[in-house]
Amino acid sequence: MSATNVRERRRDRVAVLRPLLRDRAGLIALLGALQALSVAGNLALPLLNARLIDEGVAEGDIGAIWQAGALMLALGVGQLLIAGVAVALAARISTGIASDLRSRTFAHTMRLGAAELRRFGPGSLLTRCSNDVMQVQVLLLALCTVVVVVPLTAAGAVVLAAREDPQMLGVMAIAAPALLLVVSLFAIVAMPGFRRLQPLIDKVNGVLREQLVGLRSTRVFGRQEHEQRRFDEVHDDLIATSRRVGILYLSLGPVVMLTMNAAAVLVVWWGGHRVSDGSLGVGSVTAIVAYLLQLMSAVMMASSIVMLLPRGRVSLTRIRELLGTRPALDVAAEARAAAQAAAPVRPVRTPGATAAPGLRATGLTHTLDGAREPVVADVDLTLAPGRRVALVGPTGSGKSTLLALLARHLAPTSGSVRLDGTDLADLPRSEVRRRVVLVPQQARLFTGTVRDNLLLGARLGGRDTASTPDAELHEALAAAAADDVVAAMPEGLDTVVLPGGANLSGGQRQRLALARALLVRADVYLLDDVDSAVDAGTATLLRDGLAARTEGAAVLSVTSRVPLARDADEVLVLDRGRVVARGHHDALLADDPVYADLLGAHPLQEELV
Amino acid sequence: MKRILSRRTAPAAEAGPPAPRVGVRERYGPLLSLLRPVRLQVTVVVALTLAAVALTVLGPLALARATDLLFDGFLGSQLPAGMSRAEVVEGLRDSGQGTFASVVSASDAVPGQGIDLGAVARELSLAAVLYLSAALLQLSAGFGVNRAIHQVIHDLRRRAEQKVQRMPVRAADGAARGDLLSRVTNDVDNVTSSMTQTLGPLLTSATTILAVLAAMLHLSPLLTLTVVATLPLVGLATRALIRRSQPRFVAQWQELGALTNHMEDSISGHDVVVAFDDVDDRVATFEQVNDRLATETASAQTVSGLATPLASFVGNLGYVAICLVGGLRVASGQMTVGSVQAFVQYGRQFSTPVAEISGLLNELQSGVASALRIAELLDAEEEDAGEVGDWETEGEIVVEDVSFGYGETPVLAHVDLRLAPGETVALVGPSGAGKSTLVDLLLRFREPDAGRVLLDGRDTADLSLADLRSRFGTVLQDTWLSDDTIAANIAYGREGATEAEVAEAARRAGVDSFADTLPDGLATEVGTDGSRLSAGQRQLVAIARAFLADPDVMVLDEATSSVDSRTERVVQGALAELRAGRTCLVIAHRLSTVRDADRIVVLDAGRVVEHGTHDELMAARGAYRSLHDGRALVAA
Repeated sequence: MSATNVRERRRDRVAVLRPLLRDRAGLIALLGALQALSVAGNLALPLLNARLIDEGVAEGDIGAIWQAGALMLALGVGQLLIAGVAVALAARISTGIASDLRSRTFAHTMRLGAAELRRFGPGSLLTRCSNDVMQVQVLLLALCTVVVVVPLTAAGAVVLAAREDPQMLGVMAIAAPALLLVVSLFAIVAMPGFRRLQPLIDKVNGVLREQLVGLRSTRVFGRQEHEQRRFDEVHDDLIATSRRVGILYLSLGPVVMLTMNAAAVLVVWWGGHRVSDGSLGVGSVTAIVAYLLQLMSAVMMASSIVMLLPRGRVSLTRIRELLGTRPALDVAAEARAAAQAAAPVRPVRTPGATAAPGLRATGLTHTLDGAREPVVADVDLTLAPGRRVALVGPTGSGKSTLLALLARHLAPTSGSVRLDGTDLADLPRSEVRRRVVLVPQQARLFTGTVRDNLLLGARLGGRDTASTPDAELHEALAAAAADDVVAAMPEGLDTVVLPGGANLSGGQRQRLALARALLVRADVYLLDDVDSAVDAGTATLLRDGLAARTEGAAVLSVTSRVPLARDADEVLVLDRGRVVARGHHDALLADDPVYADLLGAHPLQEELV
Repeated sequence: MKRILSRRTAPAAEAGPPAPRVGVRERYGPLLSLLRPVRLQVTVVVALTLAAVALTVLGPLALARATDLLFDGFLGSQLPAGMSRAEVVEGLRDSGQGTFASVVSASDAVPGQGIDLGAVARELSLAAVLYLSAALLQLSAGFGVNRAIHQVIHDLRRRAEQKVQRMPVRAADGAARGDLLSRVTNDVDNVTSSMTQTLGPLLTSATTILAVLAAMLHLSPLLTLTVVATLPLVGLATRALIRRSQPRFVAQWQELGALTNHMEDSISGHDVVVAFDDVDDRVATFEQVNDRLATETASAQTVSGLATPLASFVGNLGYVAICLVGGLRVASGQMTVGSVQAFVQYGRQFSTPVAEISGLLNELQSGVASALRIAELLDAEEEDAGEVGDWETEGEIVVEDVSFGYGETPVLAHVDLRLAPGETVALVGPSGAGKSTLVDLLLRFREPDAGRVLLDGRDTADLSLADLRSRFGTVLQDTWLSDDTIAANIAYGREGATEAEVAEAARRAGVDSFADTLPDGLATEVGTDGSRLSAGQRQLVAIARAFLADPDVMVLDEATSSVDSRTERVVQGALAELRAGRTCLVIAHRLSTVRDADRIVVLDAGRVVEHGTHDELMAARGAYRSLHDGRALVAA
C-alpha cells in the first residue's frame, strides 16, 4: 500500500471525528485549561508542604503550621473543585461525541440499501453501532483525562531535572525515546490482534442473532449441540485473539516500569561517577531520581492510552467504513446526474399527451454484480391508474426483484421506470415512496403496538399521525380483511406485537402489513403474494376490500392463485426474468399450458381452501 | 408510533419497581462467583503480586543505599584522612559547626575515603536484580490474570449460549433479541475489561498500603493512627459515590440493551423502513434512547470519576494532620524533624493507593452492573431436552380436549383430534383459527392449559423434549435458513447426513430445479436469513431439510405457500412418497395440497367444526364447502 494511501486513510479516520470535536471546541479548551491548573496545583502542593515543614515543624511554630495547613487545605479544596469539573467535562465530551457518532452510524445504516446491508450483515452492523462506538468512547475519555496532564507533567519533570544538571538532559534524551519505542512497539504488535478482534465480535453477534431467530428450527431438528459447536467455533477464536491481545495489555505496565527503574539505576551509577569527580552534587542525584519517578508516573498514565489506542483506531476505521458506504441508489442517482451534465437532454418531464399518467417500465433490466444472467431482463409494463395487473411466474423467476425495481428500492442496470412521465430517478425519493407502495412478501411488523405499525402507513401518506382517527385505521383494516384480527386482540389497536410478530399467525401478519400499506393511499400498489398465508374465504374478502380501497390506483399483484389473476386486466408471466407471455387470464389459460400449470388452474383443481 | 415506542422503551432506570438497596454480598456476589472456578489461579496471582510489590518496595531501598554510599564517599573525601569519624565530629562541634557535625555523625563516612564505586556498583546491581525480578513476577502475574479472566469470559459466554439453546420457545418468542445480544456481547465484554483494568491494580494498591502501613507503624504509632483516622472518611466518600454511580451504571447497560434492541428490530425490518420511508422516525426513536444512554453514561462516569479526587482531598487532609500533630510533637521534643519528614513522605505513599482503590472500586461498578445483567440472563428458566427414548414410533397422535390461550385470549377450545398411524390429515381453516398453535402444542413449544396430547398412547408431557421432537419432521410456517450453503442448510435436518443423501433430498424437494441454474449449485451461499433466495426457494430448502430428517411423523405448516403450483406438484409427488407409512399433518390453503389427504379437519375459532374426506365434506355443504368456494366462515 502506498504512503499516500495510508495518509488518506488516516485523514479519513480523523475526518469522522473532526466535526464532532469542533462542535465541542469550547468544552475541550476549558478542559485543557482546568487540567493545566490542576498540574500547577500539584506542583505547588510540595512547595507549600516544604514551607510548612521548614517554617512550621522545624521551627516549632504552631501558628505557621496552621497558616500553611489552612493554605494547603484551601488549595486542596480548589483542586477538588477543578478535578470535579474536569471529570464531568471529560465525561460529557466523550459520551457526547460517542452519542453523536452512534446516531450518525445508525442513521446511515437505515439509509443504506438492502444489498449494502446484506454485505455487512446484521451482526456486524450491530457491533459497529454499539461495541465499536463504545471503544471510541473509552479511548476519548482516557484521552480527555491525560491529554494535557501527561505532557505537562513529563515536560515539568524534564525541565526540573535539566535545571539540576543540564547533562541529565542526555539521560532523558535516551530514556524518553527508549520508552516511546517500547510503548509504540506494543501498540504496533497489538494492532493486528485488534484488527482481528472486532470482526470476530461481528461473527459472535451474527451467529447468536441467527440462533435466536431460528430457535424453533433448531429445536425441531434437535440441533442444539450443533448450534453450540457453531457458536464455540467463532467464540473460541474470539477468546484466543482477545487473550493474545490481553497478554500485551497486561505486560506493558511491568515493562514500562522496568525501563524507568533501569533508567533510575543508570542515573545513580552515572551520577556517582560525576559526584566522584566533583562535577555534580549528591543532592542533585537524589532530585533527578525523584523527577525521573515523576516522569515515570506520567508515562504509566500515558501507557493506559497506548493499549486503548489501537482498538479505538480499528473501531474508528470500521465506523468510517460503514459511513463511507454509499447506498447504491445514491450512487446511481449521481452517475445519472453526471451523465446528464455531460450530455444535456431535453427536459425529462414531457408535457401534454405523451406524459401518460401511471407507472411505465421500459426495457427494465437488472443484473447482479458479477452475474452472467440478468435477474430481470427487458421488461416492458404499464400500470395506468385504475388498472389491475397480475404477475405470475415460477419460484425464483425474478418477480420480487421486478417489484423492487418498479418501486425503486433497486436501481435498474438498464431501462427505466417512469411515473407520470418522469423517471423515478429524477423524482425525490420520498415522493416515489409515497406514490408507489411496495408490500413485501414477508410481512414484517416492528416491535410496538398494532397502532404504531399501522401509523407507519398513515405517516407515509402525509397525514399527521397524532390526529389520525381510529376510524381511518379500522377502514384500512377492513379493506385488508384484518378487522377481525384486531377485534380478537385483547387490547385491540393497542395490543403489543412481540419481536418478529411472534404472537400473530402468518396470515394475520400478512393482513396487518397490507392494511398498513393501504393507509398510504398511494397511486400505485405493488403487492408481493400478499394473500399466500390466508385461507380462500379471507382471500375473497381481502380481494374485494382491496379492489374497493384501491379504486383509481394502479395495482400490480404477484400471485400464484387463480382469483387475483382472473380479476386482472392483464396477466404477465415471468420466467427467468423475462416476460414470456401476457394477456388476459382466460386467453392465457386457453393458449398456454405452462400458465395453467403455474396457477394450478386445471379443470379439476382450481380452488383453494 | 413515537408515543408508543417511547412507552415500550421507557427509561430503563424507571422500569420496574425501584431497586431495593443491595448489600455488599448481593452487589459483588455475581462478580465474585464468576471468579470461583479460577480461584486457584487467582491465589497464585495474589501470591505473585504480593512478592512483586515486596520487591518493588525493596528496590528503592537498594537505590537509596547506593545514594547513601555516594553521600558518604563525598563526605569522606572532604574530611581529613587518618582521623576517625568520632574525632572529626568532635572537631567540628568544637569549631561551632554543630549542624555539619550531626550530619557527619549520622553518616557512615570514613574520613579521607572517597566514593567506593565498587560498593555502589554492588548496591546498584542488587537494585537492578530486584527491579528485574519484580518485573518478571508482575509479568507472570499478568499472564495468570489474563488466563484466568479469559477462562471466566469463555465460560460465561458459553453458559449464555447454552441458555439460549435451552430457553423455552415461549420465553424466546417474547424475548427482546437485541437486549439479549447486548448482554452476551457488550456486557460480557464490559465485565472482562473492567476486571482486567481493576483487579490487578486493586491488588497492588492494597498490598502497597499494607507495606507502607508497616513502615509507618515502625516510625510512629501515633502518627500512623492520625493517617489511618482519615480512612473512614475515604470509606464513607467511596460508599456514597458507589451508591450513586451503581444505579447509573445499571441504567447505562440497560439502555445499551434497549438501544441494541431497537437497532436489531430496525435492521431486521429494513425492507419496511425502506418501503415506508421511515428512516427519520426510526432515527428519532433511536436518538431518544441514545440520549438517555449518553446521560446515564455521563453521570455514571462523572460520579465514579469523582472518587479519586475526593480521596486525594481526604489524603491532603491527612497530610495536614500529620504536619500538625508532628509539629506539636517536635515542639515538645518527642520527635525529630527528620522522622516527621519521612512520615510526610509515607503519608503520600499511603494516600495515593487509597485514592486509587477508591477510584478503582467505583470503576468496578460498571462491571458489577454488567455482571448483574448477565446473572439475570443465566438465572432465566430453561427446559431440559433430555434423552431420546428407545422405542419405535407407531405414529398415533391423539389430541384430547385441549384448550390453550395466550394470556386472556383463548386460541384453542376443547380440541379433540386423532391421527391414526400412517394417516395423512389436512388441517384447514381461516387464518388465525389456531392451526399453527396446534403445531406448537404437538411439538411442546407450548403447553396446553387443559387437556393432553398423546403420541402412541404416551402423554407427550411425560416424554423428554428430545425424545418427542426427534420423532417429528417439521416444516414451519416461518422458514429459517442459516447463513451457510444450500447443502449445509439441508444437512441441518439430520446429524451426520452424507452428501449423497443431501443431494437426494434436494432432488425430491425440487431444490435442484433452481440450484442447478446457480453457478455454485448446492454449494451456493444463501446469505443472512436466506436473503439470496426467493421465498419459494427457501421453502423448498426447508422441505428438503425435513425430507432428510426422515421422521416418523411429518408436520407441514404451510410449507409450500410461496411456491408456484407447478413446482408444488413436483414436491407433492415426493411428499406422497414420503407420506407412505408415516403419520402426516398438513396445514395448507391450496386445494391441491389438501384434497389428497385421508381426512380433512376444519378448525375455526379454536374449535374443530368439521372433519371427513374431501368428497364427504363437499357433499356436507358445511364449513369446508364455504372455504372451498372462497366464502368466509360465519363465526360460530
